[in-house]
Amino acid sequence: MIPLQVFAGALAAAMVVLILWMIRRDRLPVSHSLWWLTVSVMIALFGLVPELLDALAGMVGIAYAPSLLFVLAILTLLIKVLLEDLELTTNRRRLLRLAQKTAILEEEVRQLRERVEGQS
Amino acid sequence: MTMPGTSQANPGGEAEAAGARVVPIRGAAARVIVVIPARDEEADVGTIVGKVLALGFGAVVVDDHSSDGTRAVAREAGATVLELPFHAGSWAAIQAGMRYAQHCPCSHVVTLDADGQHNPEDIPGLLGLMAANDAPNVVIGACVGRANRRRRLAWRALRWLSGLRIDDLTSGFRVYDRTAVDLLVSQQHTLIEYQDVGVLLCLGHAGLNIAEVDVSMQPRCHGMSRIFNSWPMVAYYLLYSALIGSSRRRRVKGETT
Repeated sequence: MIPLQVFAGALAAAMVVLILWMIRRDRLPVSHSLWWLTVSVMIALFGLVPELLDALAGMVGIAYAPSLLFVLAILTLLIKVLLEDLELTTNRRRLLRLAQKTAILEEEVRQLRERVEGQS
Repeated sequence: MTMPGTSQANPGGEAEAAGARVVPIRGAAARVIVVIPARDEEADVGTIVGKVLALGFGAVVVDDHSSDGTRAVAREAGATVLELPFHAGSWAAIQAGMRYAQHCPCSHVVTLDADGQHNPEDIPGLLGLMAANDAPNVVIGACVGRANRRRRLAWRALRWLSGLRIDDLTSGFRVYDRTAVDLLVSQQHTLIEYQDVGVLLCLGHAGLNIAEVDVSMQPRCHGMSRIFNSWPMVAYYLLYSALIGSSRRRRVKGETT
């Protein structure tokens, strides 16, 4: 085993353990953990079998194989951030709807209370 | 400073609407509900509410988390007040008012700025257009007369970007009929940032008719004052409108006649 394989294997293993621990503690929902587990698998795969990266780079015509690794990493993060943005937007929409509803209900309760107090 | 004396403008309003599903508000039996989004407007909101109630319309002030006494002043003047729990922006405030109005048996919703730039006495004139046989779904109270350079430039750009043939795209003084209100309250339209191009495009997309009437000049007749105060704001606003306009433009053209 070359040092790179040890390092990559340890990194991937640590990441998997960390994610499983966070699921166990209810810090991370399972749906989100899938993404990060996939990332750990990719780290393990490219770290333990460096030839894979060389072959892949050759296929897409990248002369310097490690730069493919950066391309993949950046792409992964970009996609993740974009997905987060979509989710943030959904949440903002829901938040605004709830705020509007709260304001409406609050006013209706106030008026009801006023009327009940007026009757008694 | 305020006009509390006009709150009795709708006596019997509660009794008339007692059968309605939702709690009737002062003036809920009114045919027209005026939605007034307000943020730190305690100086003018009372006067405006007074004028609206005196005309026999319902007044719903939506307080966009003001830090001053806007809520109290509006209540004192006799309006129904919806209090947003955080600063949500003027369109979200208007939509809250529309969602409230939707439960009332009203036929039209008017939106009006709380800073006194729109005169409630112009409302009957705008509503007059709604009475016609082939009435438009939305009437805009346009204020084209006094505009500074920034605004004229912005208007021209907006017309060009959106493909809408309307003079005053930014006016917050509008009358919506029920069809328009039912369309705009949907959660799909909650994230619109400004009550102008985005809203108008969405109305045009649905095939609704938009008409425009020139309203009398007020001393402070200028819509969207906060936006047109600085060039960076104008730039963001134009960019926003350009994106929303260009991404929806073709659909609008395809479906309106």
